[in-house]
Amino acid sequence: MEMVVLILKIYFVFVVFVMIVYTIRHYVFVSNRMFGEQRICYQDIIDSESPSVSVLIPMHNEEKTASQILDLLVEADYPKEKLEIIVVNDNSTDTTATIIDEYASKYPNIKSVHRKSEDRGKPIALNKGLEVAKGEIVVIFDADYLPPKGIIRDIAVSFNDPEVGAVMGRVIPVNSETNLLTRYLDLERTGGYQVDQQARYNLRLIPQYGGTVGGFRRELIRSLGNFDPYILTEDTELTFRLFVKGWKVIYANRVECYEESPEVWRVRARQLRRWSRGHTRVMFRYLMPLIISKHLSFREKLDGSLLLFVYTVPFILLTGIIDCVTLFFLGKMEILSTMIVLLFLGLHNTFGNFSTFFQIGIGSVLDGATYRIRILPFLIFNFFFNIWYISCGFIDAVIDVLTSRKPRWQKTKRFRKGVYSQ
Amino acid sequence: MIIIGLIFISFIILVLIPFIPGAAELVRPRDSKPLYIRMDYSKDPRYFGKTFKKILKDSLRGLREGTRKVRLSKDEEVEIVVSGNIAPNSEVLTVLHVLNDITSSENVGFKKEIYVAGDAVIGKENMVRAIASDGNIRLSEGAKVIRWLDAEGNIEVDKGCDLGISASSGNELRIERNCRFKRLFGTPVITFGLPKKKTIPAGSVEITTAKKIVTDKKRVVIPPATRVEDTLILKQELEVKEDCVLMGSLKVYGNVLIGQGVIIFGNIFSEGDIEIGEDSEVAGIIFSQKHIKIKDGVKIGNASTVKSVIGKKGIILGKNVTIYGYIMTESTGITT
Repeated sequence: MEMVVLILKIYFVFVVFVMIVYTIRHYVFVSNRMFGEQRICYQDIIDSESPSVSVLIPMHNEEKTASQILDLLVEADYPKEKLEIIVVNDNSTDTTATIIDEYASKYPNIKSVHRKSEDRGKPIALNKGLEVAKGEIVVIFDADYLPPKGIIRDIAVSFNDPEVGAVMGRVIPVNSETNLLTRYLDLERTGGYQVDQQARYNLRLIPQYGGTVGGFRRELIRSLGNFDPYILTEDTELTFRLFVKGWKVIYANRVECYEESPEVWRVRARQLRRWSRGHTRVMFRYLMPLIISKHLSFREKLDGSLLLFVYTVPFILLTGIIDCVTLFFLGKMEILSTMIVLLFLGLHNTFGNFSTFFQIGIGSVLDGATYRIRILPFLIFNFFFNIWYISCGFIDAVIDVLTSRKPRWQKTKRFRKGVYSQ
Repeated sequence: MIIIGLIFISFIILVLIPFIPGAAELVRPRDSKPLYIRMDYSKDPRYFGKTFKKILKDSLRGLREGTRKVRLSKDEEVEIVVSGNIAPNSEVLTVLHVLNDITSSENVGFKKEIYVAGDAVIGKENMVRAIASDGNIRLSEGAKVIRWLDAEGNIEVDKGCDLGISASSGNELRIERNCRFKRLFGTPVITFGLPKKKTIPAGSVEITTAKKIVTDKKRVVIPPATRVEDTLILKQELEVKEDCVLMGSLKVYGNVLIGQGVIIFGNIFSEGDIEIGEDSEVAGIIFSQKHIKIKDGVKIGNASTVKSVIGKKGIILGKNVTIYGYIMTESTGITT
């Protein structure tokens, strides 16, 4: 029993240590956005010599969204002779195939590609699209996105920098006013992009390619073997593959695009669990290559490692809370001294649990959206929801690795009721 | 018991207080709309002039004289005049739409925007809020633009002018010395001074292809008259000595010092300062997170392309510099 208590106490200290590390990380990012040097991105560049671009849109049962994204892309200001739009119908059972075939017959630079295999998923669909893509640059959009007129130019222009392997833009929920969940997700996106991603770009760390509203060099990705069909977060995998090989991913805060957020908790839970499962698989695969890579600085390795562990932290925290409660009921909370325990608890609760909250607050201030900050305290409920489903995803990934199980892609349900307009 | 009850109630109230503003926002949302994205945004260096002219043309269609209220950033009185000849030391308080040419004398203050269908000659020490022209614009010595100027034709800027936020031309933009700017666009933008005759005839320098580039932990040096075929990505500083030819692009984490008479076919990206030596030519983009200094006689881009020179913390242009395209800084650009 003494040994169990000792292990529980050591784990408790470890949890507090992890929380403090991530708290410092969040503070660094927020401080950078508030007071630090802001690097400019490449969207101000005007260059008449544009690279050829292939836009890839994987679609599985996207009849609610297909038309609007294609209508918007047809209006893009990118030179038509240098732009092809490839829509990959990934085994749809609704009218998606008919819709995209209609667009392909109407517009010469839209191509429809149909996959009939049951072995479906975004990475597989992207690989299929890459087989037919001819552009130097590949730009990806999910089907629920609403790309503005100038976004393809804004993404493509970044590749003038010879070190850039991939570019990521900013995602903004279009249905933020639907319910409490969409308002939460809107705030989370604000913190994640306006503060986290931009700070990483400013500090020359590891901005993350997010798999949509972004692009990469086609030949580079083909030379690296395309996407792994059994990784559920092909975007994170690509990010680390590029950095480990000496390429950079850059974040462009001004390249903004609307997305549709999940409007139902069940759908959000599945999305979170998939992200966590995929991200954790990437962690197992890339932690060591990241640490030993000759192309990365110490700062990049540190940030990359913390980023890889991001979906492990909720599991650590969840088990930490269980650990805490167990120690409490065993009457063994006196770890070093009462004051230090109180300090640990204070840190744990004030900064560990809620450290992302001030990131969201500052993000909203930078966006000039001040009233929405008032619902920040309500994020506490979302916080426990996130912890639970991310932990489930983490456990899924561990089982995947231990049993060599191959995960199946789960599509996020759409809620589109009509055409979004401003 | 009562005290415990009061403490408990106080505790509950204190727990609930942070949720009250949020609850109000959820019940009566004031900030629930999605963040605004301009869906029709398309990068255009002449955006200000084109947009302003479109608003006026749409609002004043057919009007040849008089005044009319037009919605700009707010409702503004627009005065339509056939042509203008503004007396010295005067002030123009309304938005002007000039159907032909306009000329102003010394020390005139244009408090509002001007749209000139013909040419505009702005006098010495004038202050102009913003001016768009379908013809040419000439800014005389010491003129100051608060916001922007745009011309379909040429723009000529005399010495000591301040070009505000943006100066753009559908044709040539020529700037004299001691001018300040933030954004310039022209095909080309040319600084003061006449082209000098090159002392070394082109092709007389023997170029050797680089087999070894001098390098240490802090600095990479490309020796004179060296031809480099590849794109270079360097963590150190870079010095390119005179008469080199670089076929690829450069990405440098330190400062970049380009010597005299160097030809670069690719782009230059740097996290540090960039200095382009006299009479060098760069076919591509120049982009720095810090300062850019472009010395005399440098040419960037060519007549058939539009390229950009972007230096976040400042740009200095020497004399007889020719840039085909766009120049931008978040700080201050100057012609010396």
